[in-house]
Amino acid sequence: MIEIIQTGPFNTVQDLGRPGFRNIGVTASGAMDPLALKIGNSLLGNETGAAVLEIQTYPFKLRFSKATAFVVTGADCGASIDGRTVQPWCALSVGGGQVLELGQPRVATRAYICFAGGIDVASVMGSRSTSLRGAFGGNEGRFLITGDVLQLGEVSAPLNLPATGLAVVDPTYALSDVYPAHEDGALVVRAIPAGEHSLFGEDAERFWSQTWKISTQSDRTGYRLMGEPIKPTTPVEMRSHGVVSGVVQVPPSGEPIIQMADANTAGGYPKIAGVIEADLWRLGQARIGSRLRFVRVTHAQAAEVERAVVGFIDDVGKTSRMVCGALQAMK
Amino acid sequence: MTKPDLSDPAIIERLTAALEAAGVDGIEITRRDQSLLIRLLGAANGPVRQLRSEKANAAGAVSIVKAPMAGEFWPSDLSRTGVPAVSAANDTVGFLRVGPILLPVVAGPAKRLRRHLVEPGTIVGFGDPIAEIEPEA
Repeated sequence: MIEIIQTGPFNTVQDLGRPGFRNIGVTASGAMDPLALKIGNSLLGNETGAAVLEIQTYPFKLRFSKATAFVVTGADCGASIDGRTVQPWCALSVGGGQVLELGQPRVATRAYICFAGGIDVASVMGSRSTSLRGAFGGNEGRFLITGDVLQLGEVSAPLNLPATGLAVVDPTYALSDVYPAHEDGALVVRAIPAGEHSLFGEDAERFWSQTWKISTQSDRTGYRLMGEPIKPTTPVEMRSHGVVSGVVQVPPSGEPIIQMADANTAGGYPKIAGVIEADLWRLGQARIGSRLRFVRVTHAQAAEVERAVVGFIDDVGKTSRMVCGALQAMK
Repeated sequence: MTKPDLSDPAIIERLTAALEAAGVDGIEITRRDQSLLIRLLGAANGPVRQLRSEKANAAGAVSIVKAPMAGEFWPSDLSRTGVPAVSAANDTVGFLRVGPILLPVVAGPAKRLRRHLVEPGTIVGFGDPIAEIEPEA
């Protein structure tokens, strides 16, 4: 069990979301940085989709009521236990009464607190994610407030974590051959041309070539971008159609919107591109005001990146278990 | 060749006698695992000995941190050097990298790193000395 001692708004319980209900208007939700969630859970020996806390406003503080293990992944927010700084992305054992504190990150935005056994809130439509717009799921369908108490799940196959903890190599470093570095300070986001790409004529090329800025009108639902507007060659009127996270729509203003974890389920704006799923976590960590550039890739390239990421997550789970086992054997 | 135990009274006695015979004021020997300081001070009734003999695992002395398992030694989290770190556990003397996993190696309570004994990227085995630590000032 954990108790929330201090929190800002919009910190929620999230897992990998509830896909499959968009046809009845239910957004998927889920972590904005699913990679951080999966790696944190793999490191702890949880199911990769176990529910965690997504922290996006700081400072944040919680108290553990009994001994367990946790890891803070995602943004490095100077996490500390009882005032003692802990290594980022490092799974640690804690005792009852100990206090975990997160400060403001200098880069990236969202931290994920993963617990051995996961957060044990009720599953709604197959997911423990909070849907703030729908006011259901997670912890009573709302963001966390001071005094909230959350139960942790049972640990089916606990890891014998070493006292020093067990950390994971920064995924960006480990996967540097599949994730392009920033270009002139701009995040490089890979995308595939979408259904209405050709309607934008020469402006379509400017979509790919220019640098876009993430506006303040951005949240878990979507990121509104700022830049030189792009327009279709002729006005387009479309019927509303299904939308998923990663879809880049172009409203009449000409400044694109990227649908994120709480994506609308339907929309009528023309779609110029779709961000590949393996790059969505990088967007989830992008800060408001930061710049990004889209790079065109193929389905095959997107699938290749996806395989590398899946392989890394799998490797984290297997190796953490192997290291813990080896350390036990050598005691 | 076997290293002499610098805490052995017989060895200390022999070294002291040798210093006196040679007219030398003192000697300091420092190894990875032990250190010894003998200083002979002049006194009216003969030389006075000032002695400091330290074993690696003696409380309050320089000691050695050994690799808890095989792995690639990293003096710090090299995967996070590209971004300004907010966090850095202050008693960590290094890491052993095993694939995607980093096993922190810590100095322990009230200890701090004195120096690393292996180069970054070195593959170390179980029990290999990787760092010297000393009490915090």
